[in-house]
Amino acid sequence: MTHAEAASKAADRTVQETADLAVCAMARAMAGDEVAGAALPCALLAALLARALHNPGLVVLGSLGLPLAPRAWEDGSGFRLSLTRDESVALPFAEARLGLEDTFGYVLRGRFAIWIAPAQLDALGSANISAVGPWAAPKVALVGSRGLPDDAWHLPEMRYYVPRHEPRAFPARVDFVSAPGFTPERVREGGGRGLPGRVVTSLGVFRYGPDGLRAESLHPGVSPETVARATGFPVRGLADAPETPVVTVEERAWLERLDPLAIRRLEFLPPREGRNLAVAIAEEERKEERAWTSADAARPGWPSRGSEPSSRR
Amino acid sequence: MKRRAGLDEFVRDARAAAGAGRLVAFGGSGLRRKPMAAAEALRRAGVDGLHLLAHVGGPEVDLLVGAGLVRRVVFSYVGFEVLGVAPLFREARETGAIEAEEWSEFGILAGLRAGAERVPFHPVRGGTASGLGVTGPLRRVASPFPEAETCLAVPALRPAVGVIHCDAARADGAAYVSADPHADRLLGLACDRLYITCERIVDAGEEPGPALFLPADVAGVIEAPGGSGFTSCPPFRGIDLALAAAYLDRAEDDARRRRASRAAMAGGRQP
Repeated sequence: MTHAEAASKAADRTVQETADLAVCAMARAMAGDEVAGAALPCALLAALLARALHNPGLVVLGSLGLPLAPRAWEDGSGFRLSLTRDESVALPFAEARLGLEDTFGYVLRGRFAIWIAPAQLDALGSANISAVGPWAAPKVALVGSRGLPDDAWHLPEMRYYVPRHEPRAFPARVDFVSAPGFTPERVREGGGRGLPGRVVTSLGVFRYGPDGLRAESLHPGVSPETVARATGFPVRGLADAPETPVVTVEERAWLERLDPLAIRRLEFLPPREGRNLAVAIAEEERKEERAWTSADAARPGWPSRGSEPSSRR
Repeated sequence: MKRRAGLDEFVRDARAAAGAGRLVAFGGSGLRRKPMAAAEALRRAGVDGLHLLAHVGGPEVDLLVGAGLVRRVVFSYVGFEVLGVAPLFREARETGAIEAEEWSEFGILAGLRAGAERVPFHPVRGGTASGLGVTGPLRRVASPFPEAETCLAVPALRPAVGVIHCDAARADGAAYVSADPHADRLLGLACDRLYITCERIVDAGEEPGPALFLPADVAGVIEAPGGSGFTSCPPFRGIDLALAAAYLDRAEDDARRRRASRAAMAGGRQP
C-alpha cells in the first residue's frame, strides 16, 4: 500500500469504525481483570466485550453498582447498552445490588479496572479532567476530578482512552493533576499503585512507562507523522509500531449485539454532534420502550417498567 | 409516626442551613435520580447563600448556581455525563462567582463516613500527589499506633439538610430505591435532617422491595411525582436526553451572551 492509499484509508474510516477499533483494543486489554466498572458508554462496552470474548469470569458493574449476571451473555437474552434506561435494563441482570461504597471498596483494595476518558494527558502520564488553565481561575472549567485521584493511588494501573487524539488532549504538561503519572511528587510520596498504563486513542494504542509514552500499534492507515503532529510531546516507538489488529468477525458480531444503536459513536464526535446524536438515539430508545416494558413484565419479581407512578392522596 | 412533609419544610431548613453556612446535600448521581423538584423549590423560593454538597452533581447544581443562589460548592464532579460539562457551573467557576471546593469522589464518601459516625476526620490515601493536595481539603495525619504510618485525611462532612429522590416511600419515612442507590444511604445518614422526595407514597404491605432508609433516618417524606425532572428514576423514567439537551442549549446560549457582554465591557475600559 502506498502512503497516499494508507492515508486515505485512515481518512475514510467512519467514526463508528474508529470507535469499533478502539473499543476492541480496550476489551483485549482486560483479560486479567477481576471487577470492571465504567462512567461512560465506551468503557462499559469494552468491559462487556471483554466479558464475552476474553475474560468470562470478569464481574462487570453494569450501571455503576449492578454486577451483571453471566446469563446476560450466555443465553443471548438481549442485554445491551442503553443511553437513557441503562439502570432499568441492567436491573433484571443484577446478581447483587451494590452501591458506590462497594464499588470504591474494590478500588481501594486494588481489584478494580476502569477505562477513563480524560481531557488532558501529558508526557509523564498525568491526567486532568478538572480545569484548563489555573484551577482557581480556570480558562475552561471541566467536570471535576471525580474518582481519578483515588484511582491513581489504588488501582493496579490507570487506563485511558482518548476518542479524539489531538494536540490539546496531549499537552506536554497538564494544567491540573487529577491523577498523577510518573511524577517526582509521586516518587517522593512513596509511589502507590495506579501508575498510567495503556492508552487507546482514535489513532492507535500506546503505553506509558517511566520513559514516557510508547506506541504499541497504530490504527490501519495512521502514519507516525500524524501521531507526532497530534501529540504535544515525543512519542517513542512510532517508526516501528505495527498496525492495530482489525476488528474480527466475532468482535463485530458482539459489538452489534451489545450496542445495536452504536452508542459508542457518541464519545468520538465533537461535543455538539455528539449531543445531537445522543438525542437521536434517545428517540430510538423511546420507540423501543414498549418492547422492553412487555419483556420486563414477563419477569416475576421485578417492577413493571414504563408505568407512570400512581399518586395516592 | 407520620412524617409526611411539604417542599416548604425542606426549603425552610435549607434557608436556615444557608444562614448558618452549613451544607445542603443532594442525592443521586449525574443525570440519575436527582431531586430536581427540591432544587426547583429552592430556586422559586430564592434561597440564596447556599453551600451545596454535590458528590457527583448534575443539573440540580447547575440550576441553583445559574440562579445565583449558591455561595460554595463542595464537589468531585458536576456534569451531564455523556453530554459533557454543566454550563452554568462552568461559567461560575470561570468568573469566580462561587467558592469551589474540589474533593475526590472517594474523599467525599470518606468525609460522609466521618460525618455519619460523628468523628472529625477520615484517613485516606487517594489524592496523594494529585492537585487536590494543593487546592483541596487533604491534610497529612500520622497514625498514633506503633506501626506509625503517615497518610492523608479529609474532614467530616455533616450536611445540615439532605434531600434524596426515591421511587417510593411510606408515610412513616421508610424509603425505597429499586435500582442503583449510588452513595445515597451514606449521604442520608450523614445529614442532620434528611428529606425524601418520592414518586409515590405506598401503604404498608405495598412496598416495592427492601428499604434503603428506615423511618428513624428520615425527617420528612415529600410526595413529588416526576420529582427527578429530566434525570432518570427507574423503573418509572429513563433520562430524558431531549430535555437535558434543550436545557444545555439554552444555558450555553445565555452563558455565551454574558461572556460576550463581559468582554465588551472589559474592552470598553481599555485606555
